[in-house]
Amino acid sequence: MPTVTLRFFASIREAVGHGSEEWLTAASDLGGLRDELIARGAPYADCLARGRAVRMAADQVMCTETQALRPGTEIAFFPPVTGG
Amino acid sequence: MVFLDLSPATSVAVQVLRKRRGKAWWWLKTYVGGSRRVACRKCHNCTMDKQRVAIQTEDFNLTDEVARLRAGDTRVGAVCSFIGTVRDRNDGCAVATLELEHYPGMTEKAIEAILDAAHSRFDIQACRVVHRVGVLQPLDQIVLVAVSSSHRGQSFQACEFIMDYLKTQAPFWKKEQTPQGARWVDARVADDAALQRWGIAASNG
Repeated sequence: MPTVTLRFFASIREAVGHGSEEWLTAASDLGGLRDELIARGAPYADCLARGRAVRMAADQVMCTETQALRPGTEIAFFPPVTGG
Repeated sequence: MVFLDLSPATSVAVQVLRKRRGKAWWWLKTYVGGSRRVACRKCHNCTMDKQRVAIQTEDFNLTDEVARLRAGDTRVGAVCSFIGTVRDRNDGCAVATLELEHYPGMTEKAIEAILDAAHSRFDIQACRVVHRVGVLQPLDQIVLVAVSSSHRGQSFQACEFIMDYLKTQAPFWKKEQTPQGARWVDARVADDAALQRWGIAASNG
């Protein structure tokens, strides 16, 4: 089971209460990781719930839930972006 | 500025070095140019460490940025720029301040990739993006996109392309202070539609 670094930004960071944590995951892809975090209950279950618009990045590149996980990967969860 | 007359093959080799940004690239830059900027006379882009992207809290000066963008490049016949600024109203509420958060590391990578896409798609000489973060007030400048080209059509298009792409793919988030309290700005459906106009399907959520 690989350890990944989780990063949270914006309203998701506020809901979770911190911007970064290490997480030991049994998931093989990002979709599985999201489900694992939802299964932890509040606050993850609400801010990462299915049906909420959540974007993800792996090692600082935008990706989808099919992205495979590797040990040491940095996975970020954040709302749709609003720059510019 | 030090201009090198490189053969096409050498230009390609130097571009690879530049992309990898390893020791070989720094040796070449320092050996040839010292502290001066180095550019290939033919394409102007391949050896130049352009500092294309800046994420900063400080304000920027359009005149200075454009001067740096086109400095020494006699092929440039057109410069197009866009500046985004803070408004005092949004979605029916007064806005006292706007706070911009970003994802350090990814922000720069994402915008560099957008600028690479612009170079592939349009016949442009150089481009520059400056995006501010931190707490801003109404009337403050937020973002600058500047593009140079030989003829105006390409830089007009490239400037709009870069902004449309940045709006949906660059990891920034805005939080407004309103009379009703703080709120995070929602992404706009219109921004996804703007990107799709360029044939890019990537969505924002």
